[in-house]
Amino acid sequence: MYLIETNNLCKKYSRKCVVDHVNMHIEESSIYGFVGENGSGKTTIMRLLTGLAEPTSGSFTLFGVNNKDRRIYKVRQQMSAIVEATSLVPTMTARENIIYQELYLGLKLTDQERTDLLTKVHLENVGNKKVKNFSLGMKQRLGIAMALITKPKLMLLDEPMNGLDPEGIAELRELLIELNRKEGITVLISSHILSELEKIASCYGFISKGHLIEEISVEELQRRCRKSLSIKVDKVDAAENALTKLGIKDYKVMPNGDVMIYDNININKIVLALSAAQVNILNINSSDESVEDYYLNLVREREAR
Amino acid sequence: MGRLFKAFLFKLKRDLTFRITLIIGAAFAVLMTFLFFLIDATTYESGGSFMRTLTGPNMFLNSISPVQNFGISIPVNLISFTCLEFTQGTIRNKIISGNSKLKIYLSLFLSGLVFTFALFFAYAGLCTLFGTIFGGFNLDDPVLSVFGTLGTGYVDASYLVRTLIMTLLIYVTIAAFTIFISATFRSIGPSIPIVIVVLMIAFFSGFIFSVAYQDNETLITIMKVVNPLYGMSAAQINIETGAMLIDDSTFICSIVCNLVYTVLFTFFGALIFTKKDVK
Repeated sequence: MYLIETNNLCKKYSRKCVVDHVNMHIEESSIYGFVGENGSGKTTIMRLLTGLAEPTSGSFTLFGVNNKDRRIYKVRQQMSAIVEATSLVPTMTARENIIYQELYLGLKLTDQERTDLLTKVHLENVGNKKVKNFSLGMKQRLGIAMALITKPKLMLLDEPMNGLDPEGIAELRELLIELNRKEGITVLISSHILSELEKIASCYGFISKGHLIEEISVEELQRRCRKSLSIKVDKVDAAENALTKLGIKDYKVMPNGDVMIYDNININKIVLALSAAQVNILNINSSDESVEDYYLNLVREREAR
Repeated sequence: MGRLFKAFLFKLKRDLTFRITLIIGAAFAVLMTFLFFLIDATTYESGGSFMRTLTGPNMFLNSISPVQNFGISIPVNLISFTCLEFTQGTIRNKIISGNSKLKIYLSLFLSGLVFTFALFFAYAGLCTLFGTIFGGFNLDDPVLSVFGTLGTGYVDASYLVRTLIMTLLIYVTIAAFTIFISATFRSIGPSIPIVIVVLMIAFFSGFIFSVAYQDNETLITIMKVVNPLYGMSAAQINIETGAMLIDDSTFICSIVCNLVYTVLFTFFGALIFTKKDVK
């Protein structure tokens, strides 16, 4: 069973479709890295999942409960989210903000539990300071502490690293890994800092202009992003035949005509095979593809179609 | 819904605007007491007037108007309190944590009522208390008509009770309307002018009709039925006894009209709130 599953989820604002038939699958205890450009629909999907917005069409399930089912409210109590920005009362202290959240969650933490929460995000010394005097990073950390009040099974974090300094980013990364590994919390996280996502995500969803282009596990992504050979040739079809004859199966012809070869085969053999097939090599490059490159290539491919 | 209401009350207790407005309300009550004391000193005490102004009933009747003195500041501050839920984004946390939008709206309305009556009693309650302390609560004393349209008259317990019931219901309607507008526009900018303009129109149309068209039964009946604030201007004077009175039809119409408006504003407010996405 998926913890989150969307079924042709759509959201339109006026006539603009910002989420277009998205079918997302998030497994339990995974860290799902949500990657997409600004305005790609990441936040809107999170808003739909959290009930802040209603889908125009399509549906989704949370913990196996359909969004139209009245049990969805109960189910949402098992998740927490920070969408767009941390929502805090600036005139209250950090502790008062936690108490405020406790009240509408129907919880009653002890003062020690509140201190523990604040300690988890390194705010234990500023618990009695008004939030209006907090830096953006401190507000983000308090938001995370508040998201942990319910001991959620699922966390939705929209750009949680925004405003954090490098040390804060590293701390948040460690915290999320710890929550995921020790407590089995499933995390859906979007971030522009792909290098950070690479360090924590166990699977990815790539979204562009409202379309979910691909969902991929980290193992599969690593396989695809491994060392590759990019060859520019004058006859693509003939090159493809030559590579097939050579026994290379894992290659891809990019929209710009470059042939990307992922199989680990000796470069000399490839050059010789292409020469034998009367294919002129115009350029040849060896590279490692990052998640960012992979995403950009996916988007370019989609746009070229 | 209870826990949401508790949370709103927790926030209300820590809301600086609310605290300051409470203090201003109390200060206004002191100021009004002092003002009426001065009036009495220069008129009644010197024999220039036959009535005292600094009495419990008079202070009560002169402090309850929702559109005069301190009254108008109540919906304005309520708008500020409600809209902050949207601008600070704390309403989102409540939705995310699995509360239905209907429950959130209803608890917002309930806390709006607490907000309204806390401020109302801080001002009108203190005014009545100070008036009673300094001038007593004697129903034989003549009072100034609430909004000055009818000059002076005598009041009885029935008149005061009816006025109090009507006033409380009018404040309930105003709170329902204010929450409806705030939750629909979700911003202080348009909400304040809309609420003030509508309240002014409702009050002054009632006031004008009660004076200029008091002989036109059809118009007055329409006003009683459609204008929830009409009751504030509908006091009459019994020529024979000099006593102020609110007739049965005005009293019943006011109760029904305010209850209907409260239900309508709450129903449509909740409907719009549940249908509209939260940013």
